[in-house]
Amino acid sequence: MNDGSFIYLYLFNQILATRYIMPNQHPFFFLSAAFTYPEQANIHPFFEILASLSADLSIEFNHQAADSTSLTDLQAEYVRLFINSPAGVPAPPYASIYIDNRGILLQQGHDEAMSFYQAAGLETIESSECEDHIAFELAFIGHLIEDNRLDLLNKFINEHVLKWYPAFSQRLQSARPCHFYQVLGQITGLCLQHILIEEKADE
Amino acid sequence: MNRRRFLKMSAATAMAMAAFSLDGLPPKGGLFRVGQALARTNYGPANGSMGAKEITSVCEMCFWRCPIVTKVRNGKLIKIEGNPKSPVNGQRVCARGNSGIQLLYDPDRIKYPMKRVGARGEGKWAKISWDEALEEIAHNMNKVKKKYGPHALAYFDHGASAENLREVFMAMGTENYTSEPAFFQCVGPAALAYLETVGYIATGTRQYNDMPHAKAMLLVGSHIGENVHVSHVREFIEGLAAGSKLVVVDPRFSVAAGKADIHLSIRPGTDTALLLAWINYVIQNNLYHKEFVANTCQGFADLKKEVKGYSLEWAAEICDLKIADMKAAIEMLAKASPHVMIHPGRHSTWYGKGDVGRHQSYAILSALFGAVGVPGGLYFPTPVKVGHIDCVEEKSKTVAPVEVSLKEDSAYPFSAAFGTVTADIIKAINTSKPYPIRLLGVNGVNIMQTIPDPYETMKAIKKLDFIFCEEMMAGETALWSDIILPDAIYLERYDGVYAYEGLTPYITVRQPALPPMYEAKPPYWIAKNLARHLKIDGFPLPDAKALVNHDLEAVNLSINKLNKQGGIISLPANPYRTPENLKIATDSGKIKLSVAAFEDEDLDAIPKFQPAPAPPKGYARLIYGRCPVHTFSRTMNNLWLNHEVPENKLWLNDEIARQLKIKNDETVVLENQSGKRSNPIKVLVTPGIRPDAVYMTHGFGSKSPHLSRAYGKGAADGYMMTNTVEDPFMGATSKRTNFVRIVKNKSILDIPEIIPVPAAIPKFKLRKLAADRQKAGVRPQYASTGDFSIQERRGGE
Repeated sequence: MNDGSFIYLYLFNQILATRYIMPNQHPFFFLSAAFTYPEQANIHPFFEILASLSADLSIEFNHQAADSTSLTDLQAEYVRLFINSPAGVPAPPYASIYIDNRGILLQQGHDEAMSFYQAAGLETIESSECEDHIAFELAFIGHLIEDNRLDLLNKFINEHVLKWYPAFSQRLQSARPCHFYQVLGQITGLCLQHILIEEKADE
Repeated sequence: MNRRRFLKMSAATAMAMAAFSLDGLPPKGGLFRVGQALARTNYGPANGSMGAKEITSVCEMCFWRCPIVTKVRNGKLIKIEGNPKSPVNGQRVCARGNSGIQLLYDPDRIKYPMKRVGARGEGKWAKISWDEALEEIAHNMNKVKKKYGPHALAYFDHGASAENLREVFMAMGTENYTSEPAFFQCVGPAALAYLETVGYIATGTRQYNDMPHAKAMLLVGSHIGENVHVSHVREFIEGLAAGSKLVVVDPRFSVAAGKADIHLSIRPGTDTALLLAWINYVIQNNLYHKEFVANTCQGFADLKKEVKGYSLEWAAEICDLKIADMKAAIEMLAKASPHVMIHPGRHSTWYGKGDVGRHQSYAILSALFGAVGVPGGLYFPTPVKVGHIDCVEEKSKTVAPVEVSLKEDSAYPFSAAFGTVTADIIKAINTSKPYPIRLLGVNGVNIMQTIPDPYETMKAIKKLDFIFCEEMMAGETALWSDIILPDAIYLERYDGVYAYEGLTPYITVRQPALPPMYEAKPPYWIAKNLARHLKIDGFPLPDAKALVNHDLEAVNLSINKLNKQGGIISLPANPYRTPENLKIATDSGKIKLSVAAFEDEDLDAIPKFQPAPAPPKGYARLIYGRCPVHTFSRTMNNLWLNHEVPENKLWLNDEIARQLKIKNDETVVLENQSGKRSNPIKVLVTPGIRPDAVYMTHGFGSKSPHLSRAYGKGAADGYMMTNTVEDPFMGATSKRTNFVRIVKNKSILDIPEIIPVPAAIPKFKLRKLAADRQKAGVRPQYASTGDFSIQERRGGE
C-alpha cells in the first residue's frame, strides 16, 4: 500500500468519526448480492469484501482458496448448494423450508416475510425467485436499517429470520461448501446476531 | 438505560463496499421498491380453503387424468379436490392427486435451465439462460443431423408434456420418436391383441371395460386397488357392490384377490395355459354364446380345433391349480354371460413370447361369452369431437428416406405402426447399426428405470454426442443430461383439451392454477422456441392457451364458456350396441377368433401355450406391481407420498422364510441370475405369495441421489432385469423373465424348490458365467456402486 492511499484511508476513518456501521455502509446489501447467483465476470470484489468483513468479525479467511476460485466454480457451487444437486439441494435458501419444519416452498415462512415487507411499505421486484429467499430478506434488512425502522428490524430478525437462519446455516455448513459460501454463511450469521448490540448508555 | 447500536465495521470494509456498489450492480441490491399500498393482502392464517379462488383443471399425478378443482389463495395453491361436476371422480382425488401441491412446492424441482459443467453423470451444473440452453440444443441437433443424418436424432417421449416437442423432432426428419416405454414396455402386446381381434384398442390409456354393470369379472394379474385410478377403482367397487362375482388369477394374494369369490394362485408364466383350457372347456361344454359367435365372430371352427388339446387336467399340472377350482371359476364367469368382464389388463410385457397370445385369449373369451358392446362387457368408446391444429405442418414432417430403417425394417412385423422399438434405439446407439444414433431428447421418461437392462442404457448414453431432457424433477435422466430444461408442472400450464370417451363422456381442459415458478416454462413454449432456434416453421398460435381455445372452437366452446359451466361439460354416451347395430372395425367386420394377419407373418393365428422358463434351482421369479400412493418411479420423492410409503418390501413366502431363517422386516439384498445385486430391501414374510416367486412394488430404489427423499430407499426391480425376451409381434421387452436369490449377511441363500416343476416347463438355464464367478469367488457386481460415478458430496444431516 503506498503512502497516498494510506493517508486517504486515515482520513476516511476520521470522517466516519465512529466505526459503528452507518446506515449507508452496512453490509446487508452486499450479503444479499453475495447470496444471489454469481454472474459478474469479475468476482474479485466479492472476495475482497468477504476478506475484509472476515477480518472485522475475526473469521479466518483463506486468500489462497479465494484466488483459485473461478466464476464457473462459484456458479456450479451455487447451483449445488441452493438450486439443484445430485445429492438433493443441501441448503434450500428459503424461510418456508425451515419454519415450522414444512420442508416445502411458499408456506408459513413465506407468509411471514410477505407480512413484514408489507408492514414496511415495500414490495419485491418481479423475480423468478420466491420472496423468502435469503437474498430478499437480507436486502430487506438493509432497507430497514437505512430507513431507521429499528422496531420493525428487531421484530423481523427475532421473530422471523433467526427462526430459520440457524437451521439453514447448519445445513449449508454440513454440505461442505467452498470457501466463499462457508465464510458468507458465517459472516451473515454473525451480522444477524450482532446487528443490534445492547450496550450500556454512555451517559 | 440500554441503547442499541449497530455492529462495528472497519473503514476498509466500508470502502470496499463503496467500490462494490460502483461495480455495475444495482444500488441496494435492487430487490425492493415502494409498495403499492392499494392492495392489502392478509398473509395471516385463514381457515382451510375459505376465500380461496377455484380454478378447474386436470390432474397429471398419473396418466388417468382426473378432473380437479385447484384452490388458490394469496397466489398459493392450498388445496386440490376432484371437480364436483366430473362424472368420473366427482369430488374425489387419490393421495397422489392431493399431493400435487408437494410436487409444485418441492425444493428439489428443477428451477432453471442448466448445463452440465462436470463429467456426464457427475451432476455438476451451472444455471444458464433459456436462449443459451435452446441455442445449445439447436446447435447440437443441427450438427448431429449434418454429420450423421436426421435419424441420428432420437426422442423418448411420454405424457402430455412431450407432444409439442415431438413435432420438432419430426420436422428434423427422424423416424425415431414415439418410442414410448409406455407402449413397448407396458401396454403394447395387449393393445395389439385387441386391435387385431375386436378391431379397437379396448385397453390403452383408457380401458373400455364395463365393470359397474358386470355380473362377473375376471382379473388376471390386475390388482385394482393397488394400482389406483379413482374412477377405475370406483367402477370396480360399484360392480362388486351390485353383486358381481369376481375371479382373480394371481400368484399373490392381492387386494383384489381379497375381494374375490375365487382366487387362483397360479404358477407364474402359465396364465395362457389356464385361459386356453378355459376356452376349450367353454366350447366343449356349450357355454359360449352361440348366436353371437355365429353372427359376429370368424374362425370359430379353427379355434375349436386348435384348443382341443388343452384340458383342465393338463392345465392343472402346468398351472399348479386344482381342477375343481378352475372349473368353478369358469362356470361362474359363463353363468354371467354376456354380462361378463374379462378384464383386458394393461401392463402386458410379462414374458416376451406369448404376451400377445395371452391378451388375445382374454379377447376370445369375451367374444365367446358375447360380452362385446353389451352392459358388463367390453364397450365401445363414444367419440368426442374437438378441434386439432398441427404445431408443424404435416408436409414439413416428412421422414427422411433411409436405406435400412430402424422402424420399418424392424425384426417385428407389428412394431412400426406404433413407433421405433425402444430397446432397438438403445441397441442402435451401442452398435451404430443400422445407422448411428448420436443425440437423444428425453421428455417425461425415466430411461434408467423404464427400459429393461439399464446397464445397456448407461453404456448407450456414454456414447452419445449430446443428450438433453425436459424435466420437472431430476430423475436419473437429468443426472446424465448435457442440458436440462425446467418444465412447468401440470398445475402451471394450459395443455390441451381432455375429452373422455368412456361410459360418461366429457370435455374439460387443463388450465394453470398459477403461473410457472422460477424459470420453468410450459411445453408448448419450449417446443415453439426450440423450433425458432432451429428455424423450423410452425407453431402458428402464440401459446398453449390459444391452442386450447382453437381446439374448443370446433365444438363451439371456449375456455371462458367452459369455465362458466364449472370447467367441464358432460356428453351422452353410446357404449353399447344392439345385435343389428354391432359393427366390428376389423377388415372383415367380424371379431377374429383366429387372426390371419399374424399367420401371414409366421406367427400363431390362434394362441398356443409357450411355457415361460421356470426359475433355475435356487432362484425364485421376480414379479412386481403397483402401490396405491405412487405412480411408476416418479412420485417417490414427494413429501406426503414418501411419508405414506417410503420404501418397498420384498414379499417372501412364509415357508421359504422359515427354511431360510429370514424374519419379517429383516433387510436382505437380492442377486439376480446374472449376478447383479439390488439395494437392500426389507422382507415381508407372508403366506400371500407362492414359494416360487417374490414380489415388490415397482419404482423404488432410485439411483438419483438428486431425489433426496427417495434416494436408496428400497430396491429397484428394474435393476434386476437383465434377461429380456422380445415379443415376436412388436418387439416389446419382457419384464418377468428374471430370477433372484437372497443375500443375507453376505452369504447367498438358495431358495428351496417347494413346488416341483412339471417336465413340460423347461427351467431357465443359468449362464455359465454366473456359476463360474461364484465358484471362483469373484466379487459380485453391485448394482448400487461402480455404475454411477456420482460425487457424494452431501454432508451428514
